[in-house]
Amino acid sequence: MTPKDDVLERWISQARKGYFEMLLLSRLQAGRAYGYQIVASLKRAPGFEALAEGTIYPVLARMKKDGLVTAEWVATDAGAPRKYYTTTAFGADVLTEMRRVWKRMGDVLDNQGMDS
Amino acid sequence: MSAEPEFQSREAKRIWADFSARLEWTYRDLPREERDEAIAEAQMHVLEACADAQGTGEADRLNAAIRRFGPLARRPSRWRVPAALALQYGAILAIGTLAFLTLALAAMMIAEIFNPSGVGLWVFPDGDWSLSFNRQAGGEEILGTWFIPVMMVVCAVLAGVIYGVHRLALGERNPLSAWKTGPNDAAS
Repeated sequence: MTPKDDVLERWISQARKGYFEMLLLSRLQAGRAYGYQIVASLKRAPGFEALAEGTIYPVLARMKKDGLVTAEWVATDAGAPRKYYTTTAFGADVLTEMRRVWKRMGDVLDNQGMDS
Repeated sequence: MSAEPEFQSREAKRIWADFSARLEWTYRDLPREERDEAIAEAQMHVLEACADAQGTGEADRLNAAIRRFGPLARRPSRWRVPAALALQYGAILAIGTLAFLTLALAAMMIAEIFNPSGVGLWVFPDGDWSLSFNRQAGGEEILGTWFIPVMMVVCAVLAGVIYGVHRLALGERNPLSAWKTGPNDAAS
């Protein structure tokens, strides 16, 4: 591993923690989903390809406690019930704010808004 | 609510039982209802991942799904409990003893200021020695004005040892920590 890879890996690990909740909220805003579905979507995001799948559950539980999402068990034809997560109005509001911050960060990185 | 899959091979059944036991252990600090839900959810996840996994047999697919799920705490062997407890209590005893000794030496340093002719390290002709607050008949004080600097060094070394023992035996990764680990919150 080169020094550049080392630095990038550390940075991606930190960044991933920062936008994990935003990605989860964003996925759930597109429609309710259960853990396995959420992981499948999440793994398409950069830095999440090798995500340990079980790590989303403590984060979802925390988001539920914070009132960002709700969860309900739904019976399926396959037999085993699945726990579906849905964003709340509060979660949607928080996501909007997160996106605004994200966009501003993008603007700054593009050298726009550095003086504002 | 927990899933009861019907695996055919004995190996897959064993892997599933091990995975379920590790889930139980990982989530043991949660309230009962939350723990049951967390375990059921994780089991459903792995069963679905197992159905999607590539592999020649169900044990291979199940192993792959569990690997993708990520690391889980494993219940430590029972024999390690008394060993870890003994180490921890031993460390507490050692820290207490060393701290008492450090305080005693610090007290001697202060006493040396007020009674320089009495306080010191006394050596006797037969080779015996004594750290004392009072002049020792037949003995010779060998540190003199170096008593305070030497004791300061000794106290610093003792404080370092106390810190080291604390880090090793009572810090975050102490021998008993394996029994206290909760579910990983690891978007890491």
